[in-house]
Amino acid sequence: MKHAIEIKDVSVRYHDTVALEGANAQIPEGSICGLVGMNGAGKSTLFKAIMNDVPRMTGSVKLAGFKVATAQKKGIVAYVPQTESIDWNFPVSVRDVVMMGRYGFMNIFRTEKQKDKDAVKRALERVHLTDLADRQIGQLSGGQKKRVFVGRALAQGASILLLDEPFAGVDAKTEASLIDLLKELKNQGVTILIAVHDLSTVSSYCDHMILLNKTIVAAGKTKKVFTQENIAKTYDNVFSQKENVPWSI
Amino acid sequence: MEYIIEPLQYDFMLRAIVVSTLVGIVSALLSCFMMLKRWSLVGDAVSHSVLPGVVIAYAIGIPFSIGAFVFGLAGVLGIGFIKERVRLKEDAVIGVVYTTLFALGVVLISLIPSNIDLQHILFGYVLGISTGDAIQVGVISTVVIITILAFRKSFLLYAFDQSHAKAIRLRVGFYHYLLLVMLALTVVASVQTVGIILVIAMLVIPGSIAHLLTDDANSLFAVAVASSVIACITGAYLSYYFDISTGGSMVLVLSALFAITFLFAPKYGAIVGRRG
Repeated sequence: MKHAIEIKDVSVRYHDTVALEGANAQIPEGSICGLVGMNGAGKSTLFKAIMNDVPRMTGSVKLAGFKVATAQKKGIVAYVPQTESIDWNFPVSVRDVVMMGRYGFMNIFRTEKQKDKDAVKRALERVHLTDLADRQIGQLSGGQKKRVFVGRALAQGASILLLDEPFAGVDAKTEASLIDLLKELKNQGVTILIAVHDLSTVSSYCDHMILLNKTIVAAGKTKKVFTQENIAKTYDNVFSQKENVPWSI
Repeated sequence: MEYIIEPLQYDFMLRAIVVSTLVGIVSALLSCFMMLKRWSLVGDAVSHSVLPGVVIAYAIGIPFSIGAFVFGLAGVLGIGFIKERVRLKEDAVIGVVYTTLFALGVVLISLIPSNIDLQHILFGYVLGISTGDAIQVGVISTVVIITILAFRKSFLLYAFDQSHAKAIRLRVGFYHYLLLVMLALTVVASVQTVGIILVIAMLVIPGSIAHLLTDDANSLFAVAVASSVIACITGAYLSYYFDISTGGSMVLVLSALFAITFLFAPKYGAIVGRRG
C-alpha cells in the first residue's frame, strides 16, 4: 500500500526546547488517522512539520511521495484550522472561503477561471453547503463552519487533510455528521490526519492512530497501537505536568 | 448648488478637493485591511514615525514624501526587528519606537531653522498645498490604489488565514511587507491633507463603518471609500465656509458617519441591529 504521509526521524526544537524528538510514522493512503496526546505533546508541532512551518527541523516528511514544498505546490495537502483561530466576522462568504482553496492555482491577481468555479461548485456539493454558498461564514452553525474549511480543502483538490481539533466545542450530533463526511472522503481515497482530544470515541472512526508524547509513542493500525499500555505511555505525566508548557498552543 | 460651485473657482480649493478625494480613497482602502488585520496601532506607529523624515527632507531640500516614507517604513521595520529579539509584547515595542521617532522629529524642528510649521504636519494644511506636493500625493495615491485593488484577494487571504496561505505557498512575508509599504505610502500621502495625527482616524474609521454595514469584501471596500470621500469633501467645504481646521473637519464628519452607523446600522448597529 502507498503511504500518504511518511514521517522519518523528525525532530523539532524551539530555541532550546525540544518539541518533538525522533518521530517516525507512516500513514497509508485513504485512512483516517487519529493524532492523540496531551497539550504540549507536540500535536501542533507535528502538524507544522508536515506543513513545513517549523523553525528548526531534522529528519524528513514526505507527502504522497513528494517533498512537502512540492506537495504544497501541487495542492496535495490542506489544513483545516481550529475554530478559535478564525475571525468569524471576516467579510467573506462560504463560497469566498472555498474559492481560497483555488488560489494556489491562480495567477498573482487570483483571477477566477471557469475550472475554479467548477471546482468550488463540486466542493460545495460534497460538503452539502450549496444552499448556503452566499452566506457570511459567521452565520453558520458549528458543523457548517467546519464543513466550509473541508470544502476549501476539496476545492484545492487535496488528497491529504489535516484537521486540528475539529470536534472541540461541537455537539455529539454535529460530531457524528462530520465523521460521516470524513468517512465519505476516506472512501474516495482522501487521507485524513485528525488531532483529537476525546479518547472515548476516537477508535470508532480512526482506522489508524498516532500516539504522541514529545515523540511518537506508537503509530499504526488502531487495533494494534491503541492499547492500554501505549495510552499510559502517552498520558503518563498528565497529573504532574498540569502547568502549561511553553510550547503548547 | 451655488454653495458647492463657488469655492471651486479658486485653484487652491479645487486642488484641495482633488487631493482630499484621492487621500480619502487610499486611506479607506487601507483602513479595511487595518481593521481586519487589527493593525490600528501599527498605523499609529507609522504615522508618528514619519515626522523626523519630513523635517529632514525639508532641511536638505528633497521631496517631503521621500523622507516621510523612509522614516515611516524604518519605524515599522524597527518594531519588527526589536520584537523578534526580546520578550516584550508588540504594543510595548510599538510604543517605544514611534514615540522615540516622534520626539526626534520634534527636536529636529526646534533645532533646524526652517519655515516648517509643526501645526501643519500634525494636523494637515490641504488648503495651502503646493502644486508640487499635490502631484506627489497624486502619484503615490495612484500607485497605492492600483496595488491594493490588484492584490486585494491575496491581502484578504493573508489577513484571514495565514496557515492556509502558507499551505498553498502564497508568499506570506511578501504580502506582509507589501501591505506595510502601502501603509507607509498612504500615511505619506495623507500628511498634507489631515496631518500625521489625524490620519489615524482615516486609517481606522472608514473600514470600521463599512464593517458594520456589510458582510462582503467588495462592498466593504466600496462603503469604506464612499464614506471616506464624503467626509473628505464635506470637510473641505466646512473648512472653507467656517474657517475651521480642514483635517479636523474631515475627521469629525467621518466620526459623525461612524456614530450614525454605530447606532442605526441595519444588522450590526447598537440600536437597530440584533445583537450577537
